[in-house]
Amino acid sequence: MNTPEPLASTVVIKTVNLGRTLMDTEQQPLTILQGINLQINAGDSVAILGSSGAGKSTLLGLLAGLDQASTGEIYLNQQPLTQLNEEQRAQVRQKVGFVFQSFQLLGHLTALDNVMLPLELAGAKDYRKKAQNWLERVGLGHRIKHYPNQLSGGEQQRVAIARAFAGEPVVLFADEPTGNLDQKTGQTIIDLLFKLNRDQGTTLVLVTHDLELAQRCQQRYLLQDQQLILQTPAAVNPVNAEATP
Amino acid sequence: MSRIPNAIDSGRAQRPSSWWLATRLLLREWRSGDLNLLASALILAVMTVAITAFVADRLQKGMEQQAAQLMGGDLVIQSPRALPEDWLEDAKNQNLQAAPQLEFASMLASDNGFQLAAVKAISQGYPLKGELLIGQSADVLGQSSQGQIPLSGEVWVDLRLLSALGVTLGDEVEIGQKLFTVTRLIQQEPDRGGGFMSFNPRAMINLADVPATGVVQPGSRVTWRLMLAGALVDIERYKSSIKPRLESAHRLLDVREDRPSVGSALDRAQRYLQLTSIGAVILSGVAVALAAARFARRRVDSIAVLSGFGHSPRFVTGIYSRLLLSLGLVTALIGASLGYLLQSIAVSLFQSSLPVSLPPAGWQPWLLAMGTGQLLLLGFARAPLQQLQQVSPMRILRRDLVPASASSLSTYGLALFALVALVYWYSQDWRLTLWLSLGLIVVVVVSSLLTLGLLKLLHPLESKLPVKPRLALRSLYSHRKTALPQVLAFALVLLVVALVSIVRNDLLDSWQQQLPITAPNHFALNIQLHEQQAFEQALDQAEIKHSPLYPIVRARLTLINHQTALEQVPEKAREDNALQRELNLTWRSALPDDNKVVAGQWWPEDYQASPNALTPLSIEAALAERLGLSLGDHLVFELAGQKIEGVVHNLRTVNWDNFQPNFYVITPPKVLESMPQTLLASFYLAPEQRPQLAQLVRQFPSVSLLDIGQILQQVRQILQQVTLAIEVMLMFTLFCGVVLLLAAVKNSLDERLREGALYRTLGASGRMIRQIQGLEFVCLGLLSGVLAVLGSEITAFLLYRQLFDLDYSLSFTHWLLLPLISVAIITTAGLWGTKEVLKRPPLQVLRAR
Repeated sequence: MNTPEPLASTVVIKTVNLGRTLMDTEQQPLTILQGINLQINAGDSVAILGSSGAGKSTLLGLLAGLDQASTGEIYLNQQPLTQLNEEQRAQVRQKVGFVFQSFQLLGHLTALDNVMLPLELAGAKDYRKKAQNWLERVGLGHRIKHYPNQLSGGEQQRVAIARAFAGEPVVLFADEPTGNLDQKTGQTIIDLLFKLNRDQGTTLVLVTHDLELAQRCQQRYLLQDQQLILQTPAAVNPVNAEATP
Repeated sequence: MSRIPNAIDSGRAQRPSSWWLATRLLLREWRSGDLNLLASALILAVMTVAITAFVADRLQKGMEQQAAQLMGGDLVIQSPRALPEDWLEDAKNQNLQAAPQLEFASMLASDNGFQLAAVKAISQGYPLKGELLIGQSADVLGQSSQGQIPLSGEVWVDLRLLSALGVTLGDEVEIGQKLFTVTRLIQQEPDRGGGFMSFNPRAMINLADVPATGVVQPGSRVTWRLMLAGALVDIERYKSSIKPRLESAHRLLDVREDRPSVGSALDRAQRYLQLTSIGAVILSGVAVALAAARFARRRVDSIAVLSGFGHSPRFVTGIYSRLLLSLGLVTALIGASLGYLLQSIAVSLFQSSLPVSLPPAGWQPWLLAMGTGQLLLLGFARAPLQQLQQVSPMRILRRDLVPASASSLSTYGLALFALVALVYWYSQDWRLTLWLSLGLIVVVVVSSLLTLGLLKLLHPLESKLPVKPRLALRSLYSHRKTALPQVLAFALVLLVVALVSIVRNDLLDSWQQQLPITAPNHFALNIQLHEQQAFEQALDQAEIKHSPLYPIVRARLTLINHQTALEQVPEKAREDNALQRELNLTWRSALPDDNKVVAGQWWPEDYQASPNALTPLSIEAALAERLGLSLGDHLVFELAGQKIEGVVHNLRTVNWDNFQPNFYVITPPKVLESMPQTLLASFYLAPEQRPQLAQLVRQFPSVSLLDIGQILQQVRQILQQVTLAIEVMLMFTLFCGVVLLLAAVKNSLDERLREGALYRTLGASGRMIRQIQGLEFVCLGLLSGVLAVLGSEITAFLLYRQLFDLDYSLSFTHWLLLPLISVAIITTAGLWGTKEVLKRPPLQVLRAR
């Protein structure tokens, strides 16, 4: 096992030579990611762009400690994820928030219950009050007793955002958060997401294929041919992300 | 097969037939593995039913065969007059073995004395079933007659007759006008009756010798019997061909009628086998219902997509219906074949411990098992499939659109219909069907109310609990709609297993009590009052365990409500044996142990007869029913010119299975004491005490000693076989129960996988998720266990009272054990079944949705 290199306190995510290979249906290895080197500092907002099937969500899962890398290292919030076991990774995940394209609310729980859940799992004391508070902040104070199927798509995503922020995450991962919403609702949701992100000083990692949305982030990467390419705001030619320390 | 007409656009390809599509779909789904659970459930269902049906069929046949030996044949036609000649010919023409016999009472005379004996005149072939043991002396065990019968001029006698007549083998005795030579000693007779009141010593002669004796004249009291044996189908065919020709004096006897003790054991065993089969059906129903629900759930998207492509949901579900039907046929064939194979293996394993080898199974179990599979599919899989018709094509766009759930009425109604139909098909018994269905409905309704009530009650208390139990309880509460069927399924499975094992224990107990090893195997009849003391002393000295000596007054029932009994009884009872002969009356202050008063009341122990009051009479209930007697009827019995007058004071059932002295008529003490009477005792004679029996016969020549040891032995063998049958069935039920519990847990896996994945993204550790899930399973197990105990007690209570005629008592061990076992199995199975939650990467699970 490698001794982890100390990271600057401002670095929230760092990957070294990260790769992920899966077995396809015919049991042939299928490389999805290869040699990814990436560093994200605290408070940054980062967009990962790429076409469908490029491996964006796989990368997101790896960064969040939900999946295991085939090669390389990942540091999340100073912790070497690849050297941790599931229990330890779960601990690290308590400082991570998620917003999914398909909301991923538990259908049998009310909005309030859904938001309470991560707080309860983390053993927070005043989980109910905090959850209520967050639902009010996303504008759903009057619908806390509603079940997901009684809410519109936009409202469901608001619950998901409240749930993500309720755990006071250091990093928030968002996987196509507006993919299931109309443009106007999507816009409102994104505004909310960025506002809360700013207020809370959270690091935001956003996976999307929506260029406009990506423009709102401080940094943008393109995932292509298993590689991650940094795109400067005015860049015409993509620069390999390895250039960053 | 339906083809959609395609008149509008002839250029468009015609829509393929639904069956063709269904077959292709079936193959494709089978390959994808998505049908595995449903197919396994169906195969398991048919296999379980097949195993029970095959084993039950073979054991049933085996038991009947064994029991037929007690009767000397598979079927007996009995008549007080000679039977028409062509009946015998018909039987022979229908491939049956047939042997007529004639039985009558006659005085036998030797140089040394006289003795009234029961003479049986037999013909070639006797006995058709069982063994007649004959020998030269009482001290050496005899040999099988092997088809041999007395030659003309020969008589075979039993030990009692030999002693009573004071003769030895080779001596001559007279029956009527003919002289016979005693050539053999009868040691065991397969079809010797089990009752004890008509037991005169036995003599056997050749049927051809009867006319020469001149004792059988028109009007003589005789019993003709036509003994028949052969293959079951032939017997059944003959039975139905002869039934319309029977007159009121004819009686068609099979094992049940001829041997009430064996008959009731067989009946109970058969009911038990039915119960286990029905249990297996319920288990299978649960499995199919769970698997079908899962299958339908997973088809919602496909149907939405196909609907979106322009096929109506009705068309698509029609295809799925055909798919299920084809699946049903394929799985029925596989399941029945597997069942046949497994039962062959099981029976061959147990064969060595069976008293007789089991006959092969017939074709009916095949039909039963495969038909059951189809009915289960219809009853338990139709409703979830129907629900798919409600799928909106909009679901392609909005995944949160779930089809309206099928109404509980159609879901449960269809399942109930299938179940009732199956139970009736299995039992052919409306009573069993009614009580079992009623029991199940009560259990399902009560369980549902209790489960929902309890969850609702606990819900407000959640917030006071630590995080893990809180989340476990909340998950249960919020999943109550899916948790309820799951709890019901678990509870039903446990209930069936518990019921099958409770009934087994009580049946075996009751049989063991009925026939302990030292159950009396001899009766001593006709003990005179003056011999009482000497006889008791003789038994005590020989260290023979015996019952008290019961007084018997033999009297004939002559008047009922001041009219002759023959006129008063229903027409079909006119030739009833009870009116033809003297009945045994006795007196008692207390109700005999195995008797139960079913109408009226027993008299107080200190009953004092007032001089003018009529004697209260206690009558055996079945006799009263046959003769049409009811409470308050005035009866007159006569003996030797004396009269006994009384009124029917109570009716009581008698346990004829226990081989203890039982009486048709009982009076309070003192009423009969002045009447002519003899005494009766029963005792147990160990094999090594056999020489003492000969001694006893010599010492008390007028006492009739009746050896029922052989009958007891045969009954024990039957019970042993029945016991084994029950054990085998219990084992299979247990096995199927556990497999089903595992399947039921597996059924809820999809939702748990997703929940677990989401919990992980929200920061829960694997251990925490396992603990929450573990707690959930503990709650489910506990709830199911308690409901199963409750349900099994309710159902057992109903079944015991209504069907098994057993005493019901609450079992506290079950109350403790069943919930514990339930928690252990469900938690282990649940955690094992959901271990994948931690194995699969959470994002993969979430994205797969």
